[in-house]
Amino acid sequence: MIRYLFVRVLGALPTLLAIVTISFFLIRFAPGGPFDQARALPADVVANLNAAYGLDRPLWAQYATYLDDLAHGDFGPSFRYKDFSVTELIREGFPVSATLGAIAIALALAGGVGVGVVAALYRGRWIDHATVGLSVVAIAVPSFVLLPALGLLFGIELHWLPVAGWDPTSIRDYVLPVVTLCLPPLAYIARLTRASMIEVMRSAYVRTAFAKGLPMRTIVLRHALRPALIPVASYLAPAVAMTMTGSLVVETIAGLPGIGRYLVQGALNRDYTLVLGMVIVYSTLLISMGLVVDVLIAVLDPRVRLQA
Amino acid sequence: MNALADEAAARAGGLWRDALQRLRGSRAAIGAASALLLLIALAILGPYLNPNRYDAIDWSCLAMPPGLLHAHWWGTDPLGRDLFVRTLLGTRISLAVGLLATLVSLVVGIVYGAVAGYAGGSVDHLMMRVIEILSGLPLIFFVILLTVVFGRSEYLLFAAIGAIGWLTMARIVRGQAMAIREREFVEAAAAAGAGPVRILFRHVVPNVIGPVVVYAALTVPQIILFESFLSFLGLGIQEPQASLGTLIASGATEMESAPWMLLIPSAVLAILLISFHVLGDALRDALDVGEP
Amino acid sequence: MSREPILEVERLRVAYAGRGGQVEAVRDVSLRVDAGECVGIVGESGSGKTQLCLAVLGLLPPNARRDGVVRFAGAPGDAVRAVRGERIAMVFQDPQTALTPHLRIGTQMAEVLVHHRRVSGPAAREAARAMLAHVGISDPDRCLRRYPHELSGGMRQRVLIATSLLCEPQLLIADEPTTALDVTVQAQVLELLARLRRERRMAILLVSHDLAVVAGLAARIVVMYAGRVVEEAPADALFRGPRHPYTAALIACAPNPDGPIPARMATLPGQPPGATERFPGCPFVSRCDRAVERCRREDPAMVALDDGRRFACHAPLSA
Repeated sequence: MIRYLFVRVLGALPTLLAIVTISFFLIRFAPGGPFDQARALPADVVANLNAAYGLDRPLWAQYATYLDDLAHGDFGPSFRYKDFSVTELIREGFPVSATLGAIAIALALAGGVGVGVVAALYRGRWIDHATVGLSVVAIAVPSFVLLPALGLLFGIELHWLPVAGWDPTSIRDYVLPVVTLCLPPLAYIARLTRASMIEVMRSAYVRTAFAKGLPMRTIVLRHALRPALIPVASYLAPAVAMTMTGSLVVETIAGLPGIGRYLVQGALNRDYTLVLGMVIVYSTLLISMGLVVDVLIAVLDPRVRLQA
Repeated sequence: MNALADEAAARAGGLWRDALQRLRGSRAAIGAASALLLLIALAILGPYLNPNRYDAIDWSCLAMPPGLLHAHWWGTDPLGRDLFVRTLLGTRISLAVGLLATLVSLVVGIVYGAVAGYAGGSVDHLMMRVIEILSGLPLIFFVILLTVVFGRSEYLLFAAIGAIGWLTMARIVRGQAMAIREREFVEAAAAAGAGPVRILFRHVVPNVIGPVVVYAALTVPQIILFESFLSFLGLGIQEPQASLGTLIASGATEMESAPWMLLIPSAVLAILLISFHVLGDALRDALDVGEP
Repeated sequence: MSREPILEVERLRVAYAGRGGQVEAVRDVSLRVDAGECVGIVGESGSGKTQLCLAVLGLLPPNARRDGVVRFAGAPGDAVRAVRGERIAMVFQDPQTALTPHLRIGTQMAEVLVHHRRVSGPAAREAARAMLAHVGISDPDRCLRRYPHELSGGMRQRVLIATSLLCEPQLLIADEPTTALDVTVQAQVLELLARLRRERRMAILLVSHDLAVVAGLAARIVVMYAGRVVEEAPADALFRGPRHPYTAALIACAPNPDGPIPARMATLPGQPPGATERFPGCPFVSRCDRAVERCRREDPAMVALDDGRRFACHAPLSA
């Protein structure tokens, strides 16, 4: 197991390097630079700035420097947030985004699996139809519609919850963003669980369990649930990706101080180091989720052997 | 061999007939299909039904609420532009992006998946490794980077979005191609001397149509959603053009003063997406294809 | 041997609502199993044998409709459901898929006793270990710790049989218990069932498509065709003189281990009618070489003889 994890982590490094390399050169091909502003700065000021940040050196030299800094845990200075390094921006914003995302994923998992199992067991009844119908709505309505709509309803009409603004001590500020973030993956997980649960309940081993005269509770919880969760486990990585995408929007709309806004802002502002930092954070997260998924599937199904 | 192939074709024909019958029996599918056809017709014809132009500014009607008694049925935005025309044109653009990008991902995915699945062995192994690595990446962020790098060309948007959609498609097609490769009519065709390319396109590709259609029906709404997402972030369609995403983005900022600016395009987008999803689900049930 | 019935099935029907109308999987089947007796059910695949077993145990899928009476040891109706897994147990066809893949054998076996007998976990495991040894597994302790995929097919079938025996049931329903196994393992499993019946005075309902499998074990044989019983007789009488042409054809198709090897195996041409097909006559008529005009018009009624035999045929073979 330890050996497996070690090999997998080692194997992820080249992938990460490739991502960094591609992103580094991609963003550099974009027209414009970090010091373009509505009112153009004098040419000598720009030249000075470029020199100060090392942007006047050959691209490959900058690339080498960047990798060297990276190897020492330094994401470099932000070009736009003048007094901050990218590392500082991430260190401040990441906990907010991660908390938001983790709560959303946890809720999506718990809620989705619960709803999916119930729908599968009551297949064809109203609760099943409601689940299937509502899940389509939850998947189809984009977060940037949902959050303003929820804000309109609970914030502006009912005055129950704050629409925007941020008070890290208040749990109420989390409610609408978390609900918005967790609904689409929750709906997906509910559908996946329902489909696989229906399949498993038809399987020969569940029939054996029934023939043994076991109570429904035992059959569902001990015999059926674990195999039914395998597709859900594989979906975790896409779910995290989905939540990341959602967080770009949700954090912007709700005005949360997470890192979601940095990627798009950074790309538009040509804040090269900030964009790269974001790409690295998100890629690392996704790649580790892939590893988590593989381990989880091996835990759920003893027939699966982890082979590096 | 011909008899076998004919039989396979006949079976496929029967499958489609059955599927169509089952679709007709599903009220949800009928409703979704009607809603879609109506929206498509409106998106194509609607803008001509109203005298306003999408970028014309009506100084007499700034931020006018919807109503049938004046010229702006669905109201105007604070710049006095007609929302009926803008929303329908936005729908047209969103639909076009969704369909074209799906087409791109279909073509790439089918060819890639069919080749990998049919070739098998080390070629398949290598091709699947590539997919595995690609799907582990935050591709959405690459699309964001791409749109920044190459400016805001709509065609590029199609291509970029389509380029991330093909991974799942390729996986589905590969699985099907591998299963079909072992079936007797393909073996019979190979025994009769048909070359691999011919077998691939005459026998394998037609047989993966079912799952592919289902997946495509579910991909279109995802891409529409993604396009609107990019537009919302200011990376997609640019003013004075509008897509549903840009309309919703501007609506969200006027939520308190002009809620219809948010509600109307949101409702259209939601109906569009839900219809596609319902139709895709119904197709999946009708064709008896599992969750991808 | 006393003739107290342990299972009585009367006019059992199982039907599914399909797209093309009702599908009748079991039509009007009646049979009885006495205590300690082994009854065989024989028929081609699709003749409704498995549906019959599932209906007896109340394990039909929710879209099935069941009519008729199933009585277990005198108790009527749903009482079967209450004794399922305890006094009446079932072994299924395919040992590859009939065990839960993610649970160790010990867990899957012990839970039966824990639930039905309210014994503690360790006691249940000990009982499971003893039962595994009893069904001929050489290292039961090791076996208890295994996952199903780590065992061979024969081992898995033994585990399933051992599990079904844990509560010492009065009736074991075995649906094709040997079909998925190698020939040598088949013989071992059948020998095991025979021994258990003798030792525990346990009734067995043995279901198979293979007359030879049933022949060695069952005292009475019920022949099913297209969802109904076409003939029933004591095993030796059935082999000596089948009355229904379908039984005769089955016997002719089965290789006789004692007789000479025939130059050409007999086969039964054609296929049984589809379950949705509606016809007024005998379901076997299209494949029957003795069919007369009446067979096409009228479904033959069951004729009961006083020696415990019965058959449904207008033109039976002579006794």
